[in-house]
Amino acid sequence: MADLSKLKELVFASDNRACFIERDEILGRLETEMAEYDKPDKFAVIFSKLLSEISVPIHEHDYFAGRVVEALPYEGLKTANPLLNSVGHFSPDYQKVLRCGLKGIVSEIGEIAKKKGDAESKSFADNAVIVAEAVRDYCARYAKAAEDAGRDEMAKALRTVPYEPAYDFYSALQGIWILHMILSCYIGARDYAFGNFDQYMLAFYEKALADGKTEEELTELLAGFMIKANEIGGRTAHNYNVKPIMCPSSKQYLNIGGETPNKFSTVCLKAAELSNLSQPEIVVRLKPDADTAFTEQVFRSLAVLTDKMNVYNYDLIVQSLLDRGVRADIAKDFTYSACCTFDLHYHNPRGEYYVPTVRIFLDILHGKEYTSVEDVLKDYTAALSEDMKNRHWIRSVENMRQTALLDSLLLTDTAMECKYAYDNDRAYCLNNYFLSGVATIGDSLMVLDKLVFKEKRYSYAEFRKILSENYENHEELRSEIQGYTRFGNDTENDRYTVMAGNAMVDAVDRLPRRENEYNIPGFYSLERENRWRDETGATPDGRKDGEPYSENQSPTYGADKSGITALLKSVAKLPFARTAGGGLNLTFSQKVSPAILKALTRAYFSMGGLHVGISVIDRKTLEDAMVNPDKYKSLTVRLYGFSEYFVSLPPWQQLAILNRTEYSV
Amino acid sequence: MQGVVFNIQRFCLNDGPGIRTTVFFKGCPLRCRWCHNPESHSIARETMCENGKDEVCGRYMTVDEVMVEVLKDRVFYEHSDGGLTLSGGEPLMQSDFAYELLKQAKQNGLHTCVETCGFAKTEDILKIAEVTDVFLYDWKMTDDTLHKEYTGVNNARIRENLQQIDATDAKIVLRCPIIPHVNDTDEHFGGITAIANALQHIVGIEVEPYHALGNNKYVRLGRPEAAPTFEPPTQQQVAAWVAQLQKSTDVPVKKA
Repeated sequence: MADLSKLKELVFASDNRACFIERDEILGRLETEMAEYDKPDKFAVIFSKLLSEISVPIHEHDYFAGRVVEALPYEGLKTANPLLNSVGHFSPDYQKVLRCGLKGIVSEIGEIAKKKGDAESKSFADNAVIVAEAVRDYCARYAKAAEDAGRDEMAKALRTVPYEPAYDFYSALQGIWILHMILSCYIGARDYAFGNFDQYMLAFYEKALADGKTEEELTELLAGFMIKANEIGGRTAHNYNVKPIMCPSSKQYLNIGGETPNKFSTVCLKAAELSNLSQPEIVVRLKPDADTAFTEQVFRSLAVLTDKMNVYNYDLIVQSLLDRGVRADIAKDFTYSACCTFDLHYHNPRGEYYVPTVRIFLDILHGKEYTSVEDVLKDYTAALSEDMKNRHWIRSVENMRQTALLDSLLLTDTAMECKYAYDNDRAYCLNNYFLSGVATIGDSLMVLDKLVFKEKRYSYAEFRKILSENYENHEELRSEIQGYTRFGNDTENDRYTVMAGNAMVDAVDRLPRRENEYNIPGFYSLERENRWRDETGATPDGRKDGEPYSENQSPTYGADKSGITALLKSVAKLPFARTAGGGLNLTFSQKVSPAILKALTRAYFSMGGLHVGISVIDRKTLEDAMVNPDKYKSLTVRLYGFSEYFVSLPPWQQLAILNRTEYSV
Repeated sequence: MQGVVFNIQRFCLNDGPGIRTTVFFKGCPLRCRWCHNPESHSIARETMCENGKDEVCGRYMTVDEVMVEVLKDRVFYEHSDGGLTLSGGEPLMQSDFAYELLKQAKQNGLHTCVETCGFAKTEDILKIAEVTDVFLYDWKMTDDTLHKEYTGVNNARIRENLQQIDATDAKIVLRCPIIPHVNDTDEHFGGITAIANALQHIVGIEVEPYHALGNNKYVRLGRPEAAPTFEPPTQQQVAAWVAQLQKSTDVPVKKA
């Protein structure tokens, strides 16, 4: 019997060390068997063979079929096999899959390939057929398993979707889930997002209501769908026991709201509350004048879901995209997929580059003697831009071409040109430049300006020497600096961080770009503020080498001493209208009412704020969880741009969470 | 015009509706035995030990200086129906300063609350009422003898002022500190609801359960012997008080 609470229990009962070994064993064998095979359909065939063999388990508590069998790794096992391996991080066009089925997509591709007539397009179309039929046959095996288990509705759906179009609410969810699981687990990637889910599912929802289903039944079904997202890659991120698989943690964003929130948007929020697990993460694209009932539900849900939800300033993002030359209809349809970055029209895989902002800043400070903040910033922008030009994207196009065949079918713009997902001439190339440590750099400029340029208490060379010596024998000075009012207190001093932010964004905007290419800056550090802390050297803001620098858009740890309203006013000064990427995490020490969350968020957005994510944490609970992880398996916190299980984090990251400023209410 | 202020706290959620900035006035005519703000008693500036260092508590500020702080969070008031609250101490001890501040707040379109013990000249409190949307009005003890014993003053004037305010347009929230074994009596609870039922403008009753969080302040002021020694109530006790009060009135009762 499908059962929400029991399905949830299964998530936490899973062994963190266990992996999807079956896949790796089959791929290991196919790698040897197919070593000599060098036809253009090699990877489509491997994918097909994998899907024809892999087991099709259904648990009695499943609402939807599609789960993987995990087992403990043994010595000599080759995990994770990279033979099939994409990087995910995009929003597949599930809407099109529901409407046309894979069969329809493949047939369109075939027509186009025929028209184009070149060998490359033909090969793309041939591969598309193999991949789509492999999914169809796999689902047929699953349908048989469902039939044997007496699950008639499930069996019926799997005989149809996702190869054929979905015919009702249940079959739509089943079709999305099975495809989502194959992408995430079988191809080995992570962070596939559900796109603007409330929009493309609305018609199925309305039909189900018309057919006599109740809102409660459909909400439960949707919660059953949402819980499945937590099965992907187990439930941990970095794992206190490292898990040797390709998908150690998959963040799956489900977007709602935007231009026209509908009654199903509210159902999505209610289902998320019912599931209340780290995945999928609910992304609300909130307009200031959105329907009142929807807005009220958003903040009721945020009070319950806390770290599992993101709220974005819809109007600000749309305007920012329009300013970047994105067509209006595409801009309005943006959807967040991973790490606080957006996709356009479901049709772009992204490039990601973490810019070593603090290191470059120190390089220029040590490279020359400056006399004003303006001169520092001028050189800083130039140095950043130079570094960005020489960036390296994550994967080579060739590798992605080979293995991400299913991905390619689900990126409609490119698929309809018989192009692979990662080809550079795809319709939208979004290059994300992640900019970390903006507050550290801003505060550093403030200190330089005060001590060296204005008060002239130190010559430039003297101060630089103090930095080179990591403040050794200058503890008194360091302590004085740390007493200055830094970014995050709604004072005049914030202007330095705003200047630093603008300099970073200028550097991105200065990059050369092709017509189909969009360079998107975002104040987002992921974990670089900690991971790079030993590689940067002391900074003028009193930070010693080895200490973390500022996270995402936040002030440095402990710098914000004037309360949450001052913090929000400070952060809203950053040039978000020029970014549309990145995130802000707010940590509260106790539960906050929906009315106050609404007021804070809307006030922040009215000042130009971009994003709000919240954590409600109790310090004592976190400290206890570090000692007794088994007692806190379901405890989640906000990490950078997403929700994460606290006990799954390595100690340095747990400490980073503890170091954040907590706001009492 | 200057006043003595000992704190300006942004993002206050329990001093009236919405998100508010609360300005704490120094000086109070009462000496409630359960008081958790002993630094507010004297209008004079005094030193308080903070992390081993002596710090001055109390600051002379002009109306303009206070308003600069208050207006910083205007955007949050607008999105939460919040505003400015005067508290203390007793704002009416510095009635002219309080009036000017509230007047400026109203001129700036802010919602205003005044938290008061009600022990003030009637003409002062009526003047304040002209620029106050909501009074958070203390009603500490119904029995006058006990009121005198526990707060140092009689409650007749407080009762009279409450009735006078009720004749104006200002709304009133009755705030009732409840201390176990002191005023958690049927008689006092009956007194609270009788007032709420008799007056026109009482929009809420808030129970303020006694807590000992201010005791450390007595130590920091060098008067540890003056710290109260009452026993804080349990959550169940508080819920029972709220329920008992609510039985006798239609005015909404809640824990502050």
